[in-house]
Order: sequence, then C-alpha cells, then structure tokens
Amino acid sequence: MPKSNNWRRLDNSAKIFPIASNKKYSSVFRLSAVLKEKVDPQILKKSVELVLKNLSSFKVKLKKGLFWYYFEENHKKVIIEKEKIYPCKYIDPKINNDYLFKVTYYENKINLDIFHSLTDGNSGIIFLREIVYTYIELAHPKDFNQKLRTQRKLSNNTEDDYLKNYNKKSKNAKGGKKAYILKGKKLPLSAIGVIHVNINLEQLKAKAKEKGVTITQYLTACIIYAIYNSNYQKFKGKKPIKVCIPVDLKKYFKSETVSNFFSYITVQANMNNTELLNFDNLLKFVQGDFNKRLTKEEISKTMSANVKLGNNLFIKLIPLFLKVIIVKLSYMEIRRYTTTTFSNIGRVGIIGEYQKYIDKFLMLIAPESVEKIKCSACSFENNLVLTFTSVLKDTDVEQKFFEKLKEEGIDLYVEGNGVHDFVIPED
Amino acid sequence: MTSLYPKIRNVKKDNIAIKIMIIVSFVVAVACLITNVCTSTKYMWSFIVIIGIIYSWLTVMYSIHRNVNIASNVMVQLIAISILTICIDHILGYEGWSINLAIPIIIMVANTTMFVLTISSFHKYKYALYQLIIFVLSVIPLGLLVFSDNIITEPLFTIIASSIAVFTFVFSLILCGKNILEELDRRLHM
Repeated sequence: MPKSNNWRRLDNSAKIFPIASNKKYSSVFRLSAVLKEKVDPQILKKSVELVLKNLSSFKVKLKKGLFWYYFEENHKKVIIEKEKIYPCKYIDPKINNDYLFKVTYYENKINLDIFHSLTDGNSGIIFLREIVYTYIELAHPKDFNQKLRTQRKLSNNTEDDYLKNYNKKSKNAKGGKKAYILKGKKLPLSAIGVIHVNINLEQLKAKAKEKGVTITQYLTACIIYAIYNSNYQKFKGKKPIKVCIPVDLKKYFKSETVSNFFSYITVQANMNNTELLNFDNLLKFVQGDFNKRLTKEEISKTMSANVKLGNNLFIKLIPLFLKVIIVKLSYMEIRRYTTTTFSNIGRVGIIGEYQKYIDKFLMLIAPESVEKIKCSACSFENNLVLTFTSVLKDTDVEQKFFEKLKEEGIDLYVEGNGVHDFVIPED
Repeated sequence: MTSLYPKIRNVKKDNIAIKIMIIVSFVVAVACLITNVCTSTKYMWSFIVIIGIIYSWLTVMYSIHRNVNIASNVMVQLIAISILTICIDHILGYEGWSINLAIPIIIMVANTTMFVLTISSFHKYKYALYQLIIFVLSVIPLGLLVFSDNIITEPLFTIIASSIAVFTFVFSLILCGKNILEELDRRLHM
C-alpha cells in the first residue's frame, strides 16, 4: 500500500461506487473460470490465501472517513463458499469478513465477484487468473515445478493513474440526450437471469473482418439490432439506443496499476433514422461512432471531466453522509442516459501448460432497475462467451441476438442459470 | 456436461421479529397517547413513552448496522440520551435538571468509557475521530456556561464533566498522539 500504516485512498473511479451502491445497485461484476475438473473447496481456499499474500492490494476493507471512504488492510480470513445466490449480488462486507470480493465455487466453476471500488475487469482478471494458476498448481503438483510458479511477477501498484494522466485544461465532454430504457416485467424476488452465448471465435473474427469492423463493434451492432427488433419496437421506443462501452485506459496511457483505470464511450444510435434499420448501415454507423469517440483525445476528455469533478474542492469538502444523498439522487438521473452496457475484456491469456485444465472464462455485470440488461464478453481459445445478465422476465433481446448471429452464419450454443427459458434457433 | 449454476431457492429473508416489534411499538405509542388524552392532559406523559420508543429503536438499529466501533456507540448514546433527557425535562415542565445534572453525568460516563477504551487499546488506537467528536460535544456545556448566564444555573457538575473531558482528551493525546494523528489523517483525508 502506498500510504503508510496500511491504508490507501480510493482511486478516482472507485470513490463513486461505495457512495452510489446498495442492495439494488450492487456495482459488482463477476469473473468465472470453468475448469475441466470439479473444484476442490479446500484447494481453492488455500489458493486464494496464497494469492492474497502476493496480491495484497486486494486484501483490504472499506472504511468511512469524514469526506471519503478509504481502504484499510484486512487481517481477517477470506471466506470461500459454494455458490448459492444469484451472481453479481451486493457484497455485504459484514457477512464476508469485510472483504470486497467473494470467491465461490460450483461444480467445475470458480467465481470471483468483485466490488468495482476494488478494481476494474482488466485487473480483476489478473486476480482470477492467479487464483486459477495457483489452484491448478496445487491440484496437480507433479505437473508444475517451483520454477514455473515463481516466474509470474505480480504488480501491487495501486497508484491512482487517473490523477497522473488527466488533462487539467481539457474541456468537458458534451452531455447527450436521455436514452431508451428497456421496458417489461421484472423477474420476481430480485432474481438475475444469466444467458451465456458461446460463440465460435474464428467464425466471428472472419465475419467481422469481412465487414471491415472489430469484434467489439460487430457485437455492439448486434446488441443494438437485437434491442431495436424486440423491446424497442414492442414498447414503441422513441429515444436513442445508447450502449456504454467501458474502455481500458491502459491501452492509451502507460499504467501498471491494479486499481481502477478505465473510462467509457457511449455509442448512440438514433433509431428514428430509418437507414440504421438495415444491419450493414447500422454496422457502418457503429464503426464510425467508435472511430469518432475512441480517440485518445476524446477518452481523455471524459476521463478528465470525471477527475476534475472528484478533485473539485467544493465536492471534497462535502461530508460523506451528504455526498451519499447527493450522489444517490443524481445517479437515479445519470443512469437514464444509458440503455445498456457492453464490456468486452477480450482474450484471457493463459500460460500454455495451464490451458489444458481450463474450459472457458465468463464475465458478468450486475443489471439493475434502469439498465435492466447488461452484456459482457471475454474469450478463451476459440470460444467467445457473450453474457447477458437481466432482471427482465422475457428474453426477446437475447433471442433476437442469437437469431442474428445464426443468420450471419456464426455457430453458437447457449447456456443459462435456469431463470429463463430460451429457444436456440435451428441451423 | 456439468451445469454452470446451482438452482437458487428464493427465500425471502424478511425479519419477522423486527416487523412484530415495530407493530408492538406503534400500538403501545398510540395506546399511551389515547389514554393520556382521555384521562388528563396536564402532563403529556405519553410523549415520554413515545420518545423512549424512538430512542430504543435508534439504539437497536444503530447497534445492528454499525456494530464495529464501540466509540461510535458511545458518541451516539451521548447525543441520543442528552436529547432524551432534555425532552423529558421539557415535558415535565422544565426545571433544568437535564442541563444542570443529567447531561454532565452523561458526559462523565462517556468520557470515562473513552478513558477505559484508551487504556485498553492504546497500542492499536482506532477511536480518534469519535474521541474528537465526543470531546467537542463534551465541552459545549462549558461554552454555554461561559457565554450564557441563564442556561446552566448549577455549574458544579458541568465544570466537573468538562474537566474530565479535557483530562481524557489530553491523556489520550499523550498516550496515543501518533496513532490519533494517523487516524485523523486517514479519516479526514480529502
């Protein structure tokens, strides 16, 4: 920890999450590794304990100050348990030995639910990967020698790289219009429906290449297309469909931090423009919007605006309890500027010797009452898993999405958590 | 192929005991108020019952939600009991016993508790912020005594309570000054 006496400040993005979060708005994302063997809870517990010794930046608890929350070293034991609740649910520190992440297991799957204050998806995957490596080493000691184990170097750099890289003179990005909000009956008893679409990566790559776009652009267009042809038309939507795309800032700025270091762009598709009803036109539009917004200058604008807000002396001086009230009220409004979020953390790189033990990786983001469906993706070997997490009863959006990919000639298969029934289209 | 997720049983975790207690509290409060109004309105004793119930709930809910730091409970009790005694004094036709006697005793108890906490945990002191707030609250009566002639009419207990507060605060500063500064640094960071 950079600060003495085992405490550290929250990074600029992390500050907002404990203030805005509650049981209904958890700010939790899940990363899972599906192994080719059943998970042994004892080995898993030992693995997590070993990893925490090396990745001590995750061994923290959240404490309240007069103006901001802060992290303090957590000396309690980490709790590992069998998965028994819906994914991405609020992590109550009181029943989790104050930890801000939760490790659970079920059959072949290791889950790591992380409260977003702690880190972002890209650093979260480093944590999960390390747990998986250690687990495999402990489960198969004959296959892994000491040399291989000590080769991996882990960073505990928790610097706030937002502060290092933001531009004080940057002008604020323009605010847009409110977005179309997905409608429909919600699932009862705070259930979360999960649908994993396992997509053949080679075919997807080839299709994206054929259309001259990236995989993220292609999938974003498919998501907008699926929303328009289901929920949007059913409820006669008028506002633009806005997809929030988190961006890993490490691709644009030099950074080794394991704290949050991400920003976002918002793709805004005004579906009243009839040209966008054609998928190829929509794809071109998405590509253009990405190219326009995904520049270092534009990203820096969004990042700098957020940093400036967090650094504003007036905001700093507001006591924490008042910040909570103000942020909660403003968040109710801010959330109405996004229809859905699509986070693609890309390929999960795994050292060769370990690959044969792993089937796939999954990423899930918590949906909530406004952004009722959220999408996330990650890939391993030739499998890209796009996950829909939803609080809606019907699965029209997801169905349209499978149908579109099938129509485009891409092989896929679908898995879920049993909350929804879905029909996989025939070849 | 193994399944990826377990079947979740939807068990609604509503705390029935809390719900029953809320209903009982409400019924008792209303029954007392009606009885009070129907019998005599000279003394509104039912208000004492009502603020007693509010105080009890405040204590219970705070203890359930914030059960970690003992000093935070001391601070909340110092504030809550002081308000409670002032209210009771007013309901009974204000004689000033709350300000002159009860609040100084509450301050003495709170600061003695902080003194014990300081001695028992000075090597790993974590009560600095609450200690500071308790100290500031504890010297408010002294301020009233100095700057206003007619609020505190019997100053003896106020002087003793404030002296104990000053002694406890200085004692804590001497014993765990470094820890207090570090704790204030993290708690008050901007």
